[in-house]
Amino acid sequence: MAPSMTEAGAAHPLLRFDDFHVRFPRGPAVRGIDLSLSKGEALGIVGESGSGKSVTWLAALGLLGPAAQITGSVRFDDQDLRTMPAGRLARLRGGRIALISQDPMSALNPVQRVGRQIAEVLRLHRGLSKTEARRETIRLFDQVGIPDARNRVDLFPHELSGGQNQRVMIAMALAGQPDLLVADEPTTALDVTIQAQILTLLDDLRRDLGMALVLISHDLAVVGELCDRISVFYAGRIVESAPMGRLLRAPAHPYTAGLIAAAPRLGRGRGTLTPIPGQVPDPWNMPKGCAFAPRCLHVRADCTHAQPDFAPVAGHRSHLSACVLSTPAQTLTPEQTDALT
Amino acid sequence: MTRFLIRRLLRAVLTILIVVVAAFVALRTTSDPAMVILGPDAPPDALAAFRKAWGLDQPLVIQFASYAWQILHGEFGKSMLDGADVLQKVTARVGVTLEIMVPALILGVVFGVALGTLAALNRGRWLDRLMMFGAVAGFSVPGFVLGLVLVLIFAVNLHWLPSGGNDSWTSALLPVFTLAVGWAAILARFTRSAMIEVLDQPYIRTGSAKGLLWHEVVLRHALPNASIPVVTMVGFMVGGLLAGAVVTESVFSWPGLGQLIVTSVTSRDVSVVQCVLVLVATTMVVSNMLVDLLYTWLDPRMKEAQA
Repeated sequence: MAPSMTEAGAAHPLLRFDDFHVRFPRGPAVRGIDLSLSKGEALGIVGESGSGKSVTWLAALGLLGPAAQITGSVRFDDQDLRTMPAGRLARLRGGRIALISQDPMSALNPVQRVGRQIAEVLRLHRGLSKTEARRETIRLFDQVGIPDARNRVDLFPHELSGGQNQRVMIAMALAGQPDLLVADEPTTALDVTIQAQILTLLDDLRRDLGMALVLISHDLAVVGELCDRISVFYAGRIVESAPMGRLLRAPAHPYTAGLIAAAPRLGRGRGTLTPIPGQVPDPWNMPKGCAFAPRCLHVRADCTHAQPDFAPVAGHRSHLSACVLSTPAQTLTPEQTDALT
Repeated sequence: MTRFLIRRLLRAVLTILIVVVAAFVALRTTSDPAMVILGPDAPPDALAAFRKAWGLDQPLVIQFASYAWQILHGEFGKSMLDGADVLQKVTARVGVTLEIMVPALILGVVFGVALGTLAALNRGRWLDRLMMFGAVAGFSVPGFVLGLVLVLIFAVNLHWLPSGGNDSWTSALLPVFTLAVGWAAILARFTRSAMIEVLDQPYIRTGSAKGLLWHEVVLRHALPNASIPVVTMVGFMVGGLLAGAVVTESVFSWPGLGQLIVTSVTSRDVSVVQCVLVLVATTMVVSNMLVDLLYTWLDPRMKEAQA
């Protein structure tokens, strides 16, 4: 076992991005991410589509293909994933780091029985024999709440519902006994009632198994439900990062405040939705300075000059924001927050 | 599944029946076998005797009824040209045709699938472009042109290989190669597009996310799935095996079924032509049915679609 496993704590994050960039031929997708994650932590990643929230993790895991140019470093358990030989990185995936993605129906091979697809992971990462793998697959199905597991393992993906397929994907992720589970929009393709079930399942499993969870979503409500800490992505950067409760209560970045205001909430009455005007800038046409400035209601002259520092908000070491309004030493007053929402 | 099978079987029988009727009517109404076989100068009473002997003087419906009765008893009759047993004459040629068709098909499948896969994995790079250029050239050039060029090079100029006939195993090389090039070219393009479609599917990324190395993803999740449409294509090729050699066999004077069709059509040896057509139609229909069955086995989603 690696030495860092025994020295758990903030000094040894499980995963750490430093000045991480991803660039596609059409333009930059991730523009300098610094982020760390401790063992067992539940981190939420929120942002609109195109904000780089998924690309960051796919790039870290080496799943983007040759068109993506990656710079900076991403270290998992003190090993640099970027300089690691491709074969070792491949075996880390599905083992210590598992990934589940948005649409479970298309993420499963349509012509293989679901049990076989999970057994593949068990044989690869845990060296189980065929019969052991089958027994373990059935146990995993039970664990993720698939009824009649013994028979369901022999079905094909099209014979299961979307929610059950997502449970299959989660079982597949658990099969490698991961330290980190990255769930990329795991409930977006599912019905609302099923969404809640899957989120509860992920939360329970994380607590039971002590694994870290990264939950990527465009939906602040989904992430807020489950996560200890939330990082908000905008146009390839993190604009705000804070413990969940604090972020929802006292957002320091106008974009976060806008997201909270734009989220529908039952019982708030009609006409209370406040959309954020405008659109995310195209990667090949990034504004100078703060990328949110063109849409920001509080834009000032200096917003368009330079990218604001990603710095702690006054009095809160764990609350960081990249906005001239909140740095160097000032968070939004309650009145300002109200004005934003 | 049983209902599906029965339906397919009935359709197969109907198809063969249509082929038999069409061939029968077409052969007997477009020209007079007696005139063609005995020659334009034959005396009228010889013609009449010939027609009477072969039943050609009867109404078409009666002729067909007795013909159908024969076939149902496995009798394909005798050649009008030399009186030989038609079935024996035809089956003797089937083996000769398969001698070039089977190796050519195997080569075509192996090279076509391998090159198409390689092209898909290198999509957009020079290797892909080079191979697709080769594939387009391969199936754009008609078999008889390629065959003649090969004869010109290897037989006429270099004297390495015989230009035709079936005297030694070397005679088979040029026709096999000619056929294989065409099939490999078609299959390479087909495999490439099937592979590219599969490689873009999210479950390929799942394969990588599981911890499989790239070649493992390709072998376990991409190739088997891309092979489903390719199998269909190969099935159709197998169905056309017996009939497909007409041109190639003519170019290389290969004494197979294709040549037999050409000679018996020109000489109006109707019973031979009919027998060959029934045989060809049957192989096509049977192989199409096998393709359908294989398809439902390879792709479990199809079972639902049929039910």
